[in-house]
Formats: sequence, structure tokens, C-alpha cells
Amino acid sequence: MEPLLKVENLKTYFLTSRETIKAVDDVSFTLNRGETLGIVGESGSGKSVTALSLLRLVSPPGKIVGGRILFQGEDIMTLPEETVRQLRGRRMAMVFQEPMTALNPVFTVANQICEGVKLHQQLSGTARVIHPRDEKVIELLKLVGIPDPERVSKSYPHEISGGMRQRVMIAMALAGNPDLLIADEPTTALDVTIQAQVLELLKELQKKLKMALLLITHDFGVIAETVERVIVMQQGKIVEEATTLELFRKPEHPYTKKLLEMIPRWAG
Amino acid sequence: MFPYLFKRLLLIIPTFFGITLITFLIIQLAPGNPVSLKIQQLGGEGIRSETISKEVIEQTKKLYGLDKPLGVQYVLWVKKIVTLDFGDSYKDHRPVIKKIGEALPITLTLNIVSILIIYLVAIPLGLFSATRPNSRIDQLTTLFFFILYSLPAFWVAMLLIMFLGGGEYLDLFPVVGILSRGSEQLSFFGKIGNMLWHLVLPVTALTVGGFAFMARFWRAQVLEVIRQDYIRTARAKGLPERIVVWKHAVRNALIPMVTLMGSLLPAMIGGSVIVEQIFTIPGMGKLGFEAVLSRDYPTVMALAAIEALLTLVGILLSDLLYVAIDPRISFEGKA
Amino acid sequence: MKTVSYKSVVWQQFKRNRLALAGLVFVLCLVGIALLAPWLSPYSPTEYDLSSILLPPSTHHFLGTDEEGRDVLSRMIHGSRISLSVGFVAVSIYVSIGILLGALAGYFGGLIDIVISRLTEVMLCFPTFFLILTVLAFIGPSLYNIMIVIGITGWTGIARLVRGEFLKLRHQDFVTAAEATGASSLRLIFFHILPNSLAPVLVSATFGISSAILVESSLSFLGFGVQPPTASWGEILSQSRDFIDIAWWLTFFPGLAIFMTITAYNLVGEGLRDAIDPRLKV
Repeated sequence: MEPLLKVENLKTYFLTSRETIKAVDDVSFTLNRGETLGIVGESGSGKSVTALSLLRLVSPPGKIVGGRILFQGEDIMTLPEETVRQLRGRRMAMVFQEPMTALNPVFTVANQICEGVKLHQQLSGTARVIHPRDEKVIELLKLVGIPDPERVSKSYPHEISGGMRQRVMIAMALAGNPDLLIADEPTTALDVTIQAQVLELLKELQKKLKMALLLITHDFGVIAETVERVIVMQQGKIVEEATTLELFRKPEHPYTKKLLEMIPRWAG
Repeated sequence: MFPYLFKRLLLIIPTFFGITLITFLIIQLAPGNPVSLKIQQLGGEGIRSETISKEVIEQTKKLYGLDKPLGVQYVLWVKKIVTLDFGDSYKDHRPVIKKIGEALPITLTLNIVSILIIYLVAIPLGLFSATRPNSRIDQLTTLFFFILYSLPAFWVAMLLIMFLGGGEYLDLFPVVGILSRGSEQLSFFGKIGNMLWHLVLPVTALTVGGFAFMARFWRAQVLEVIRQDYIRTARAKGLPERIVVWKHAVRNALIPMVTLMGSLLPAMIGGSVIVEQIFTIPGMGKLGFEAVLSRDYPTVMALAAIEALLTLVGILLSDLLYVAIDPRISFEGKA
Repeated sequence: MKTVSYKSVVWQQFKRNRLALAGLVFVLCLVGIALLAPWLSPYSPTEYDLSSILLPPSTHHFLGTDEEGRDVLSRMIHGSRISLSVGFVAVSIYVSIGILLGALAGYFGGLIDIVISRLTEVMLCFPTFFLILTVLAFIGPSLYNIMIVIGITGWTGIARLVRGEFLKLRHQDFVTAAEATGASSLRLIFFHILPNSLAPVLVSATFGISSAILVESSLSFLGFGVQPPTASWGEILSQSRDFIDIAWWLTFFPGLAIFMTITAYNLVGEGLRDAIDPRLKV
């Protein structure tokens, strides 16, 4: 079967007048439909830039300088900008790290989710009458486990808690029924208890909606609980790739070993 | 909302007293004090003040309340200005408030038109520039704004007169006043057209600097906003760039722009002294300048007080606008 | 040690900005011209020469002559002294006042802060230019009075800036540490906090010089500046108003000088700001 996503020799560099930083340097991996994959590495290892490259959202001075990104058989690198734009949010959606700054502070939750719903309806030709947008927004908020969706939908981002905001981010990402959900450090900014809830939600949604999930994190704990397969990145390169079980049982690369040693261990 | 408004309004009071006190003191400490000036005027051209009898001096002092202690004079003056009674001009003996009533609308028209133009031009240009950061065209417009920003308004005014107002070159626009002679016979729209025609050069001189300032400020705002996380989110959602910029970026970048508007108007009114002088526009600036020249104390004091009050109102408006357009700030939170 | 390296870092950053460097060179040239004015100017700036009235620019008079037959170039060279000295002196006065008030308000807080902040707000609301005009009309326009009046009316921006910096730095570790060793308030203010808050003041002062030059030329233009026969750029422009139909050079050159000087200071100010705080660079 053809994989959902096939990345071949991806190179994303940051080109400044003084130096070239190879943020992503010759990275290749595949992701199948409905599969969960983790990319793990320290900050600066290039994992977030990899994620942004998939959506062609790297902003200058960053630039994708080489490689192919085959998504559902199409090379994203060669598609016109307009086609890539229509792909964003609908077939490939993204959840960002810091839900406070990733949501626009001056629009209500409903307004921001609605944008995605509207785009999706326009492009898929679903009539507005059949699916009123307000209902769809509430439906999405319910889907991500928000207890009182009516109130939250009318709120501004600063009026709800961090955990709620991240759920709103996820609802926004789900508005277009994506085949692939990219989550970039979705729990880093949250309290530990909330972290577990959000991870649980992501896992649950992934199964329910049969999406593929690409989870990006620096935290092996998050990886262990959520994904089937792991890629370890260091300085823009993949140093190890294994199933989660294998990786924890028998890490090959010294860098992986070092990272694993740094996880706090609990007694018993 | 109301507690906040109330608190804001209360804070105006000490500031306003501070302003009136300083105005009052400056006038009192001036070497050519009001009495001697008044007496000179009463005495007429040929008569020196020494020749006027003590009696006349005392009478004059009494007439204008100048025989009382300074503190009392100040209280009396403040009492009067609260009821907008600024006394009569020393120059032509007309009530000062009447003179201001004639001048203020002219200055307001001049400056409001200027501000509208500044915003209308600066916003699209700054946005155009900011959405292409560091491109050739961005660098060129940035340099252009910078040059305009450093142009002295009075020099611009003179160059305009020289090139377009019947100086050495073209004679396209009038350079004196705001209405042509004989314009009373024109229809309503004719009058408006005539006034706009007169306003072209002064408004250009006034807007050049402000426009450049605003365009630079706005460009910086947009650039700041465009690198925020929520812009990336908007793009990741698949929104067209048009909506990303015009909805998500502009709405956020506009917040400081709108709040700036409140303080811009008084600042511009202060700055229009020279332009009004050059183009002989009978507004607040010209009135003030002539009052200073002729030591017309009631007018000077009234102008300082009114302009300061306008500034206070402007700041208050800014604050209110800020609360109105930024959902993160509520009246309750600020009160 | 730390300040030295900081300064050199700022200088390195500043040097990279070619426009700012050009501004700095222009300002330095202007200082040179002002210092050497008597030797540089080809004619006397004040002597009348009724045989050469209102001559256009030529090889004898590069920038033409005015209605009294005086050489415009010579008058402008001498005028540069006025602009520069007003800029420096007025800004020095108000930077001193601003630092003092801002430091007091930010350091002691409480009642002192309330009083100073009210005073700042009062000054901010004042129509400054009108105030300057009024005061000059009373005490008489002269070079020194202009410097003083701009100086005592212009301090609000610096005061607010310094107050903000002091509020920010007041409770940082290095200040607390110095306080713990028994340093006096004066010592804390001037040796510990102030040096760390000077960078933004320097930037603001640079922009301040350009606006002081603008105010001076505006005043001279309205006849409230340096009194004739002393030459200043604004005053030459002011006289040119009567000859705007026939003598373009009288309007063009002094205005250009004011404009270029202001531009130069603004360039230096922007360069400094970017060098001191690269984050602000857009």
C-alpha cells in the first residue's frame, strides 16, 4: 500500500547573510494511513522545522532547499501555493505548542474554529443549510471533550484555561477532517495532569477519526504513551528509527541512550 | 465600565489644575506684565506709562482684578474658565471664547482632514511594505518614509508655495486663507469645493511628516504581528493569505494605531502653528501666535488651557478606544 | 569589563549599518564645519554688500546672496553653529532633568512617584511649542533662552523612560546585592541602576537632538529665534519668504541643510537603537 506521507531527503536550511544553518539535513521517513509516528529530539534538533516543512510553512530566512515530500502521492514541493493552501487544514492539519499565543487574542473561539469549518464547507461543497456552522463548531468542541461548548465558543482565548485552549486548538485542526494531524509539542506548555488528558484525547481522536498522527516532542514520556513508531533527531539528522517498544528496550544510537537516561525514573 | 470612566475623569482634574496653574504663573512672571501693557494701550501711542497717574493704574488694576493677591487672582480665573468665560481679548476687546469659537473649527477641519489622509495612505502603504519584508520595494518605501519623516513641515510648505502656489513655477493652488474672496456667493457645495482647494497645500505640508511617522509605525506593527504564532496558525488552517493578513494581522496591528489617534489630534493642532502662519489660515495656531506677539494674555491663557484640555480628552478617548477594541482589556480590569 | 565589551558589541552592530554610519559621518563633518566656521566661510556672514543683492548661485557665491548682499553659504556655515549648539545644549539640559526626575520617581516610588508622574502628565498635555513661543515672547528670544526653554520643556519623554527602566531594574539581583552590602541610595541610583538604564536614554537623546534642531529652526522661522544679524538656518528661511517668487536659493539651501541634519541624527538614532536592542530591528 502506498504510504500516506513519504519524505525523501528533505533539506530545510536557514540562510542568513552570515551563515547557513542546516535545520533539517537530509531527512527521510514514511508514515502510513492511520499510523502514529513520533519525532523526538532536543530543542534545535530540527523536529519542528521538519513539521513546518511538511505544510510548506517555513518562514524566511528558512527555506526548503531539497528533497521531496510525497503526500498521498503528490509532491508538495512542486505543487502551486494555492493547491498547498487548500491542502492545509483539510488533509494535513497542525496543532501548535503554545495555545496562548497560537490562538488569535482578538477573535472568539467560535470565530476562529468557524474559519476552518467555512473553508472546508466551501471546498467540499457542503451546503451551509445542511450543516449550520455554529452547530458544527459546538460539535467540534464537544468532540474534543469541552464540557460547556456554548460558553467556550463565545469566549476569547484569554478567558479560558491552558488545557481548554489546547483542546480548542485541536478542535480547530479537526475542522477540516484531516488525514494527517501534526502535533508540535502539544503538551509542553501544560500542567502535568492536563498533559495526560490532552495526550489521551489525541490518541482517542486518532483512533476514532482514523487519522495518521505525527507527534513532535522532546519528551520520551509523551512518546511512550502515544505512538507506535519513533524517529530520533539530532542536529537536523535522523539518528535512529524504531518501534516505540524496541526503542525503549534496546536503544542503538548513543544519543538515544543519553536521552533515555535523562528521563526521570520512578521507583518500582 | 462606569467606575473606570469615573476614575479616569477624576484623574483629569489634578492634571487640569496643574496645567492652568503653570499657564497662570508663566503669564504672571512675565516681565511685561498685564497691567503695564494694559496701561500702555489705554494711554495710547504717544503717551508713556510714567505720565499716567497712579489713579489710572489703580483703576485699571481693579477693572481687571489685578489688585488682588496672586492666589485670589488664580482662583478667580479658574472659576471663570470653568464656565468657559475667558474674558475679553486685550487686542480687539472681543470675548476670547468667541475668537476661539471661530478658530477652533478651522483648525479641527484642517487637522482631521490631515489625519484621515495620513491613515488612509499610511495603512495600505505600510501593509504593502510589511508583507514583503526586506524586499527591494520594501527597502525603497522604507527609505522613502524615512526621508519624508525628516522633512521640516515649514520647508515643505515653502517648497509647495514655490512650485505649486505661484512661486517661481506653477500657480495651481491658493496659498492664503481657506476661502476665496467673494466665495460667499457660492452654493454650499461650491463653498466646500473652494475650501478643499484652499486646503490642498496646507494639508499636504501637515501630512507629510505625520504620514511618514504613521507608515513607519504601522509597518513595524504589522511586522511584529506577522511573526506571531497565531499568524502561523491561521496559515496552517489553510486560510488564504488575503484573510491571514487583512483579518488576523491587521485586526491586531490596528490596536495601537487606533489608540494613537486620540493623542495625535492634539499633537497636530500644536504643530499647525507654523503651517497656519505660512498659509494665513485663521485657526488656533495663528490666533495663538498673534496673541503671543501682541501679549494678549487672556487669549494666550485661554488657548493654553483649551489645547491642554483637548489633549486630556484625546488621551481619555485613546484609553476608551483601547478598551473597546482590545478584548483582552476590560473596563472592570482597569478600574 | 562588562560595559567595555557591551560598548564594543554595540559599536560592531552599529558599524554594520551603513546608513547609520553615513549619518554619523555627516554629523561629525557638521561639527567640524561649525568649529572651523570663521576659516571656512568665504565671506563675512553679517556684512552687507549692496552691490551684490539677491544674486543666484554662481562661482563667486556658490549658494547665491540674500537681500542684503550677504553670501548665503557663509551665513549657512555660521548658522550650523546655532543648530548644533542648540541641539546639544538643549538636549543635555532636558536629559539631565529627565534622568533626575525619572530616577527619583522610579527609585523611591510612593508619593514622590505620584507627584512626578502628575507633573510629567501636565507637561505632556501642554501644547509645548506654544508654551515655548509664549515664554520666549516674555523673556526675549536669544540663543541661550531658546536652549533653556527647549531644555526645560522637553524632559518628559526621558523622565518616563528612566522611570520605567528604574522600576524594571530596582529589584534585580545586582541591585539587591549592592543594597545588602550597605550601599547608599545615591550610590545605588548613580552607580548601579543608572549606568544600566542609559542605553535607551542615549537613543532617545539622539532623536531629541534632531527634534530640538527642528524646534529651533521653526522658532527662528517665526522670528522667535536668534536675532539678526546672527545667521541661523531657520532665520535665512524666514527672510526668504519675502523673496520666494524670485530667489529660490534662499528657500532651498537652508531648508535642505535643516532636513539633512535632521535626517543624519535620525539615522544615527535608528542605528543606535538597532545596535543596542537587535530585537527591535524590523
